[in-house]
Amino acid sequence: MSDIHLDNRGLHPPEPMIRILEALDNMQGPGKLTAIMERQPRFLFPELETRGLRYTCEPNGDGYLLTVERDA
Amino acid sequence: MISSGDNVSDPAGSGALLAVALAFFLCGCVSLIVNGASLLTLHAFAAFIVMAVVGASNQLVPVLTGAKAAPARTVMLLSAPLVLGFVLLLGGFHGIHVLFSIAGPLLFVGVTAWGIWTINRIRTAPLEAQTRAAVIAATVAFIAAAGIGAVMALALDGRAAVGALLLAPTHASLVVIAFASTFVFAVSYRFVPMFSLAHTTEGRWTRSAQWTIAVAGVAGGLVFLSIWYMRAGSIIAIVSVIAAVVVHLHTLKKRMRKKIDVSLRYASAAWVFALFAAGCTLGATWHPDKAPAAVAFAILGWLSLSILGYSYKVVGFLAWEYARRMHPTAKLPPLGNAVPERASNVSLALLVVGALGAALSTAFAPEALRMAAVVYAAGGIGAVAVLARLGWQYVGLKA
Repeated sequence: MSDIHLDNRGLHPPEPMIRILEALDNMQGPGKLTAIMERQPRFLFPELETRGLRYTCEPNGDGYLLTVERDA
Repeated sequence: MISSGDNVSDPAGSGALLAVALAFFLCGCVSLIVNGASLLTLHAFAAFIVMAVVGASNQLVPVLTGAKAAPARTVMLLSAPLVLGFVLLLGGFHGIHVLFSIAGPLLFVGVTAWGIWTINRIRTAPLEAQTRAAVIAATVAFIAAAGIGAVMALALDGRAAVGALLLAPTHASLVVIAFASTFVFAVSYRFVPMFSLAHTTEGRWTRSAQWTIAVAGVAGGLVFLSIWYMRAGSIIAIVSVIAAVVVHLHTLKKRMRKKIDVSLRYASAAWVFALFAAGCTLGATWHPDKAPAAVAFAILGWLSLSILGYSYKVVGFLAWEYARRMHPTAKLPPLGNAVPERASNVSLALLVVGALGAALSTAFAPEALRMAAVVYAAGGIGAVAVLARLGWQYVGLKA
C-alpha cells in the first residue's frame, strides 16, 4: 500500500494532469494519491475512469483536493 | 464524485455553438460541390471556423486561463448576431444582394460585442498571460476584419464604393491568419500536450510562433500598400509554421499515451496543410491566379482539420461531462475508447485527399474540382457523423 501526495499549485495545464498520471503509473500495487489543485482537473476525470480508478475532487481552501484510490 | 461549484465548464453553451459550427461546415461541403470555389462556399467555411473559435473561446480558453466560463444563455445571446449575420451573408452570396446590407453591419456589431466581452472576460483572468495576450490580439484582428468585411458587404449591395472590394486580401489575411491561425497556434501550445498526455515544451522561443503568425497576418493585411507586405507576411508565416511543427513533433515524441489518437492525427495533417497554405500564398504574390489554391489549403486543410481534430476531444468531453452531471452514479462508457477508429480514419483520409485535390484543381485543373469536392464532402459528412455518434453515446444515455 503506497500513498503519494502532490502539490500541483502554480503549474500550468497539462502539467498537473501529467504529474498525476505519471505518479499513478509508477504506483506499485494498491495505494492512494492525493493532490492539491488550483482548479478542478476536468480533463483528468475521464482518464481516471478509463483506467478504472476511484476518485473524489472536493473544494479545499482556495483550490481543490483530488483523491485517487487504486485497488491493485 | 466531482464537486459542483466549479466555473470552468459550460457543456450546453459550447456544445450548442459547436453544433452550429458543424452545421455551417456541412453547408460549406455541400456548397463546394454545388457552387465550386465561390464566395458562398468560402464564407460557409468561414462561418464554421468563426463559430468554432467563438465556442472554443468560451470552453477551452477558460480551461487555460482560469477565466470564468459564461452561462449558456449569455453565450447563445452573444452568438446569435453572428449566426444570423452569417446566414444572411450566405443569402447575399446566394444572390439576394439586399441581405449584404444587413449581414455586414450585423456581423460587425456582433463581432465587436463578442470581442469586447471576450477581452474583458480574459483580460483579468489569473493564468497564462501569453495565451491571454495572443487571444486578445487575435480578437482585435477579428474586429478589424469584420469592420472591413462590413464595408465590403455594403459595397456588394451598392451602398459603399466598389473600391472597398479591393480590401478583400486584407480582410482574408486578418481573418485567416491574424485571427483564426493565431488562435489555433495559441491554444495548441497547451492542448496538444494535454491531448497526447505529454509535458509542455517550455523554453524562451517555444511560444514565439504564436506571435510571429499574428505579425504575418497583419503584414499580409497591409498588402493594399504594397505586394511586398504580403510576401513578407507569407515568409514570416512559413517560418512560424515550421517553428510550431518542431514544437508539435517534440511534444508528440514525449507523449505518455503510445497511441496517436484521432485528434492528433487531424492536427498533424493540419500542420502540413498550414505549410502548403503559407508556401502557396507566397507563390501567389507572383502568380495571383494561384491565390484560390492558397485559400483552399488554408480553409479546407489547415483550419478545418485543426478544428475537426479539436472537436473530437471537445465533443467527447462535453458529452461525457453532461452525462456525468445528469447521471452522477452511472458507469459511463470510457471516453478513451469512444471514438470509432476506422470511421474517423476513413473520414480523415477523404478530407486530406479532398482538400489536396480541391487546392490543386483550383490551381491547375478546374474541371477536377467537383470530384475533389465530392471526396472532401464525403469525408466531412463522415467526420460529423462520427462526432454526432460520439456525443450521442453520452447525451442519449437513459437514467
